[in-house]
Amino acid sequence: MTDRVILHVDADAFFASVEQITNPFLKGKPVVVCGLPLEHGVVTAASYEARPYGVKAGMPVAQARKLLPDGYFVPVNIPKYLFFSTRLLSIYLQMTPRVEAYSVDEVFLDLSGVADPWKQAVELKRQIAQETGLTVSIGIGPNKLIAKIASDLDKPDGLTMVLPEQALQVLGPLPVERCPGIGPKTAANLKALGIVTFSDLAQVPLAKLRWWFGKNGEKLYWAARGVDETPMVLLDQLPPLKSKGHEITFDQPMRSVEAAQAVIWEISGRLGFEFRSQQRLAGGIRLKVKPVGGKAVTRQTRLLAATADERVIAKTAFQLFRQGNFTELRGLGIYGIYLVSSVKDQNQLHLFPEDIPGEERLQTAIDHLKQKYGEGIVVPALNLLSSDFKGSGKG
Amino acid sequence: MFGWEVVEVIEEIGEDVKVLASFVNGKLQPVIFKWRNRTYQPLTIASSWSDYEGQFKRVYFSVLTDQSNLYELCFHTRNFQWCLVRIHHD
Repeated sequence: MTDRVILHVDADAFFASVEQITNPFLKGKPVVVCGLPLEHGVVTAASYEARPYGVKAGMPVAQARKLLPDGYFVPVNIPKYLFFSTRLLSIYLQMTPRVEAYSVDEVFLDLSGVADPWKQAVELKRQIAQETGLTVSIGIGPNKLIAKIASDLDKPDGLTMVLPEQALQVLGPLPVERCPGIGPKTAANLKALGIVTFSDLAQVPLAKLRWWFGKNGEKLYWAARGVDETPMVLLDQLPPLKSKGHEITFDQPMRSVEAAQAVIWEISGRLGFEFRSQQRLAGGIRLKVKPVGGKAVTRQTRLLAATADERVIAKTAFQLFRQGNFTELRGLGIYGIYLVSSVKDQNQLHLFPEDIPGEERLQTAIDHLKQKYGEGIVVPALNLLSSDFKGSGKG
Repeated sequence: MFGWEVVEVIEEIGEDVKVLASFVNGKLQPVIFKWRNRTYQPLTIASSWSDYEGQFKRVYFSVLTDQSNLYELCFHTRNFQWCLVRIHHD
């Protein structure tokens, strides 16, 4: 495994950069991409020009407006970003078939055996800039961990190579938060133990880390030494695209939007539970509506990030529902489409359970209850509305 | 109060427009468009992208006509109709 050469390619301020490319007036200006509604949403991305003002992703737009009153606030445009993401992917695939799509704007490329990976990376940056106008930051390392950390060392438009023999020297002074998978809570726990940098972490014996952090202690031990043998999850290794869903046919016509919303939540809850149980994520949602006296119609959309979260499924399905002007329904169905495995994400995004967001932990707790007592044991309050409509399920 | 500048920068339009287009190297390119009785030309294409509404492709173009405005045009393959989606004011 020591002769691996992995590139981590990260598109710089991706959403904001796409907005600047598609609107030349925004070039060089502080651009803030916002979720909708614009007045009450959160910041999705900030351009590098906006970041010195303290604007960052996840911040309420109102707060960002106070920090940056002269900024250019633009609404998020997911289809546009997916288009550019796909273009990037096609460029990566010209270089190597060994591509792992880590997220919408990040990939790992396996260039093991390539004579001059630095030269390849320079050429890749040039090609991306020429064909898309985007800049990327690239990290080159002997594994995914070091490549990802390296890409973060020089941004934007950077290129950093860390040779195996340099790994400890480069990692040593870095704060442990730079390690993918170590979130603020674990970092705080480590800090309380006097461990701030990778060097500090490397001083701690394996037995002690195991004692403190259980099985995750071993991951920490090896991460401190720059050791990572996580394999690439190539595009063709993903499970074949499939869909899974449920339909409900009503005994009597359903006429209110509120009742439809409740049914959507009910089906979404069931789907989300099934996906999580089966370690699946839906990359898109398809809604099927059967109007009274008409043929069934379907609408579908891709999601920015694959999910098993019933709230995302329900919200997306309801958005699709609102696009139609339905008055009387005899049935409704929701399908998760473009299904992928969630195993990779669980392993890579959350090394430590305490870093899993509270909502996700809540979801896990609810799933345990459902597994023990049945699916009906916990339901959203909104679902109580749908009990007014008796129906039969399918799927 | 909030959103005042947003409205100034991006103006949502969503109106059908007439477009004269050409195919260059197999690619669709708008050349002239007419909106509210005014003709806009020449058009400089800043960027283009596409998405799907169901099975139908929509092709978007951000085009410049002068130094102060950028127009986002959309060609919908469902009905072969052009639409002026929004205007970005400088």
